[in-house]
Amino acid sequence: MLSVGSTLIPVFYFQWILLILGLFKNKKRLALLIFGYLVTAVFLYFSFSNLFVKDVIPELNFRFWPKPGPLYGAYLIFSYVGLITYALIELIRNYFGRKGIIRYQIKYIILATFISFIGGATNFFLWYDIPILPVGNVLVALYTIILFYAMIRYRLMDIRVVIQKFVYFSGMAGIAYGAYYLINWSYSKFLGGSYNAKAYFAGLIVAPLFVGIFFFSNKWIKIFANKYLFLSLYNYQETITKLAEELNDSIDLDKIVNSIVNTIKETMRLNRAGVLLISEEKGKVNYKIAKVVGFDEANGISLIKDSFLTRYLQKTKKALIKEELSFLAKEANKTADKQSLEALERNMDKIEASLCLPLISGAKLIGMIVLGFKISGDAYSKEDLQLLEMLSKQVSTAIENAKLYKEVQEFSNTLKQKVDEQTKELRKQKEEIQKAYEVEKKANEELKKLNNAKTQFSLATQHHLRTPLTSMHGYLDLLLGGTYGKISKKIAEILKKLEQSTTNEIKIVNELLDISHFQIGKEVVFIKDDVSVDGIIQEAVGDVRLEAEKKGVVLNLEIPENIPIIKADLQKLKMAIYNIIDNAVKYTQKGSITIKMEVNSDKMLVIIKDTGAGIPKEYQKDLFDKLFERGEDAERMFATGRGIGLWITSRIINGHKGRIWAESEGEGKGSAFFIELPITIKSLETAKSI
Amino acid sequence: MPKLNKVIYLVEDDAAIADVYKTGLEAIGKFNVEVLVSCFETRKRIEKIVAGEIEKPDLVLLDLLLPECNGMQLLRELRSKEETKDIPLIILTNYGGDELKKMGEKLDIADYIIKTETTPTKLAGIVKNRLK
Repeated sequence: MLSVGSTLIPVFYFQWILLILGLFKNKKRLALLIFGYLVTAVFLYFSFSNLFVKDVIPELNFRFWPKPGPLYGAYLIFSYVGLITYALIELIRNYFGRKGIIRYQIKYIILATFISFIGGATNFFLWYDIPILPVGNVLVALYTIILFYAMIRYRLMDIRVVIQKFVYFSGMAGIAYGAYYLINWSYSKFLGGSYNAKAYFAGLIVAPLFVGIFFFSNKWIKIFANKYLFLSLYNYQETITKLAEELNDSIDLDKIVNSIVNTIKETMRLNRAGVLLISEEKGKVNYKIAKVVGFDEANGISLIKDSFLTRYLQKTKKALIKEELSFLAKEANKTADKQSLEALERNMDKIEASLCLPLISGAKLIGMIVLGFKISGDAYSKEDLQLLEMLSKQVSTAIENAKLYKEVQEFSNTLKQKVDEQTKELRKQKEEIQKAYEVEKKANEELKKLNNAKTQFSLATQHHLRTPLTSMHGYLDLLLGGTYGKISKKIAEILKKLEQSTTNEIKIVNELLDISHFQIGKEVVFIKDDVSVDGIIQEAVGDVRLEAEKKGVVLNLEIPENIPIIKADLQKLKMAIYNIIDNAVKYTQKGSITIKMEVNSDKMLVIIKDTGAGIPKEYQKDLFDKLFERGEDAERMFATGRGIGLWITSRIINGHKGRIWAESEGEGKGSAFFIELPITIKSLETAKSI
Repeated sequence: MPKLNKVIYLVEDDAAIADVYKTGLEAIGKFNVEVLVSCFETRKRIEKIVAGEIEKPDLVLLDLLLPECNGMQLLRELRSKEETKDIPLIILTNYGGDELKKMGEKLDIADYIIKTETTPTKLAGIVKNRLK
């Protein structure tokens, strides 16, 4: 009966090894396993017969010791040596052929196998009367210890979680039971039993006290487990909820990345953690380190530049564990993939990363979480990976949201910038307008200054030219008027000549002042008076009549009745008309001067026609304009004074919005001057009322 | 006893011109002409009139270009005071143009006379006509 258990050991062990090494699907091995079971079944069948165990006798200081039957040797050779040796060979082959966590697992299994089976083998010496004690049985216990360590340390069979939970719940149960017995004992001792009134009453105090103790012990056990048993017992719900809350609360990418890195690093007690984000700009994929703690940034970049990693994560959408890379490389079908996986492993080795978690949004890889090792030296458990994968989903959503928000913000900023750019143009235009306005304002100010200067000049010339003439003219007037007493006839004649000269001088000064005013653009003509043009003509003719008669020149006046009164500058218009009539008399030595007026609905025409010197054709066109541009001719014109007079006259007529022109058949053939003046409606009305 | 001669203030800084017009007005028009050669002197007179120390003149003949101020300023000062605002005033200047004349007309001047165009005889006639 005892042998049944031990008989099964080798075949069970063989199956377990096949399972661990993942060779269960291999037909050859499976066939071998089935064969092993068949043979074992045969051994089992005979295990109760003396073919297998002949007898049980006392041996040395053991009360019973089995003695082998003929089949027992076959069992030893086939099962104990054959199967186990084969399993060991497979293990050793895999140990050298594989990388990653499984290698560590295999290492410990081999170690455990060697120790326990060699130790176990010491049993058989006594079977065959070889006097060696089965001291190796002690070593069999090591098997359990070694495998237990591998389970905890290297996730062997993923039993660790079960152990973690077992330790944790055992602790909690222990406290509960302990408390129960303590209370029960106390009740019996102090209250005389658990089922009386005193005890019920005490229960009211004890119950909440117990809850408190339970709560604290819960926490304490976790801390203890984490610290001393390599068991990081984190509360999944707590971690996820905490992080999820943080993620929900934030649309700030930096904050999200920070809390991810910090939470994972702290919760899992890692030496390094980081988040890398992938961004696409203008079709180009960029990898950016969002945050790393403990990693060398330059190395981190070298890793994410590896497009195979991103392609791999994109494809698998699962966590990539460095320890599994060599295994993956071995399984890879393509040489390129194999090389890439190996390169990836080297890369991860270099930056001391042991885990890459893809961040997937939709079907797209948007980034990854890269983690280092646990500070405890512990490996990642399946449970860790589940937690991390769950977290990575939350993180992906949060990051995507934050990125969208950032995009919206950036878009809004771009929009603002665009608006700014557009309005910049407008502002520029506005500034230009403002500038132009200021330039114009300045120009206006300059003009005003210039105008002021002109006014000053005008006032100064008037003052300096007229002041001496005023007193000369005044004194002559007083002398001739007898204010200073009687004067002789001779002196009176001289004084009269002086007075005449002074009057001429005044006239010339006036003309020069007018010219200068016209030249500097100052207004000279002020249309303000009700003027009778025929009256001016009569007056002028009266003044020149004597001179004309002296020459024997006939003066004819042909002026119709009811000539309208017009608005004009009386003094200036008088000057203009006087000029033309005076010239006609001056330049006509014989014949006649005819002054005519014609009036129609809106204008009147004054014609001064003479039989005098006439005007050469070449002068006629610009007779009134070329005052200072005539060169030699100008000298002649100035000498006679005619040029200045005509120039001023034309300016005055223009100032009245009228027209002046001359016609002549040529030199010596007489000339005709035409002055056309507009009649305003008001002036027509004025004429009727008169 | 009524005043025999009308009093005329001639505000004129040019000595010769002042002499010519004063002589003419006194000889021909039998006016009592007082020449004031500066703004300072004119203002002193205005102050005295305002203070009631002297009587106001019958007419002021005012030149526009004076050493320390211009005639327009004096005209405004005269028009701004109750005691002097009604004094008849003729601007007697050598400045042509309409602007100054219009300015003066707004300040209620009796006439605007260009000196070169106006002999003492002619001025006496104008003043006589005005003070009739």
